[in-house]
Amino acid sequence: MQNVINFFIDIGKLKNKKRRGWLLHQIEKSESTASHIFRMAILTWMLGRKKRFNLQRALKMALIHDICEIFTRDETPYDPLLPKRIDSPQSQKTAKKILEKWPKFSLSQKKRKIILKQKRERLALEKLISKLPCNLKEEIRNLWIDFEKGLSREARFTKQIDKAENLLQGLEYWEKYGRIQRDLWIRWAREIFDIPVLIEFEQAIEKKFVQKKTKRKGEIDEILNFLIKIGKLKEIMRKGAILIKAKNPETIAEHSFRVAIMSWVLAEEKRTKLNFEKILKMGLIHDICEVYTGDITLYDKILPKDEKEWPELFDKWPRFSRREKRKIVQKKQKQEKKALRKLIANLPKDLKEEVKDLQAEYQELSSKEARFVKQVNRIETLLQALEYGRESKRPPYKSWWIGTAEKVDDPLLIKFMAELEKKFCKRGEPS
Amino acid sequence: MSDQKYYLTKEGLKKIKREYKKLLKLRQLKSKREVPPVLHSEELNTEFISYRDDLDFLDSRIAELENILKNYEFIKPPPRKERDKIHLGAQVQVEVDGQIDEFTIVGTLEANPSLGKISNESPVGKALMNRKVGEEVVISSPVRVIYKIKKIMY
Repeated sequence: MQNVINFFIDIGKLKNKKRRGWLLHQIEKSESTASHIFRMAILTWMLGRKKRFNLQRALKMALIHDICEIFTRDETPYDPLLPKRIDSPQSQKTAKKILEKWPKFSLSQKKRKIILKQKRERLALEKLISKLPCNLKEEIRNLWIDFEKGLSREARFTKQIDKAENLLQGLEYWEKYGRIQRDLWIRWAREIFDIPVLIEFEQAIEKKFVQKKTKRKGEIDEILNFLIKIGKLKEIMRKGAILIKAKNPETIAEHSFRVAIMSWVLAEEKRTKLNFEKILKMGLIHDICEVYTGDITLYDKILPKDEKEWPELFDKWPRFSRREKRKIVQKKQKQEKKALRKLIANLPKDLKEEVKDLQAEYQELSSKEARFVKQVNRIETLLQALEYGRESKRPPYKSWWIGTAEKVDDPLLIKFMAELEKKFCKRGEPS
Repeated sequence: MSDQKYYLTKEGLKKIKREYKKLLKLRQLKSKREVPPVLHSEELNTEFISYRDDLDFLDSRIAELENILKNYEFIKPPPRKERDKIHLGAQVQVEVDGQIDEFTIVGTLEANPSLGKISNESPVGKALMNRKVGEEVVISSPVRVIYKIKKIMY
């Protein structure tokens, strides 16, 4: 189990890994790799649902396709042309000029670049998964090779989804900061998409960002609008992290990414029959209502004005009477239902129903998958709190442990908590 | 499916039976409906996918509920002489860190900690079982927290 914890800790590093392409374009507060994966996985689901392929496999592929970036750099097509360091005004000017044109390479240069990149990434992948249980190691390795080489239909589809998410993010940044070469990106997109639904998606993006057409929306336009809305989760910070003044607070998208991957890996370890596709989808969307509600915590109502009093408060798990608990839950559910209605109102009927059912199942804990993902959500929050504690060299608040001990009852997850204790706590004291 | 025992309260059992009946009816209605064509030009027909997804969702939930109904055990109040101890179904008032909290101890299917319904399989639920008023339950992994039992009700 310690090796699995280490894998989750490594995966968590993608929350702080800013995408190099945006850094080169000097985009402030740009997304992390984890945030990109989050929206890409949802896009895989929504556009891939009509395909005659294994959606579960495509979702897993989306979740792991960039995990090598933990140990290797996130590469862009511009890299061979850019100055080694972009810190002086002169080098920034040179970089800006290079970014104005799409980089062109000969076929042999392209081939060499790909071979070297795959070699570096394969080494990084092996380092990352080397100590995982055999079945998981094999599965992740096979998914990654399939994606890189584009062997299966799922891989070819997911590869284009990766580019589609990138294009959407690029144009969102263009609209916000203007530092992206919009027309260059559109031209690139027109060259690379060849799957009908992706071509349609690219056209919807053009319609939205270039032609600014808003009337007569079709199914794909509505999926695009939904994705733009949930893209806000890449920027909304988790309230708990803000309240404890974490140095690098995570976003809701980043948290959801690790919940999805942890749910998958721990469900494999559990060896009980669970629906993996449902687990992955639930992990990804369990917090989407927060686009409108923000992250609601139990401390919101009882937080004293004087911030000096906060640490003492956070050390205790907030306690309420039965009546108060019911009131808090009902209020939260009402807000979330309203937010969900607004969020999914225009999605195609089948997707709307699916998202609504999955959300209801998760909130009401009415299936074994919902109970499992809800508890993994709690465990991910605990793991993140322990990582914040280690980062700030301060012991995490006791309430993280207390809340988890009252909420988790899955035997495997209780064992996981004990292993977390071994990993993060010195004998007899939390660390 | 596993033959795990599921502990249910009267209300919990009612809720599950109600859902089971509703889903069976829905399943019957769905299968009577005309099945939409699989293909729509080159792509799969969305309506067919939606129909299939609905059926898959229904079937897996029906199977889950059947498994629960086959393996459930009713949570009954314990005999009078045992009522001074915490058993499944007990409403418990505890003092933690100088604050009062109220829990109901339930089986995993009905657990909802946000509403104070604590699972008997969680570390806290497990530690509280069979304890009496006045006793102090210490959870110390890894932080030491004392739950002082103030009241037990059935």
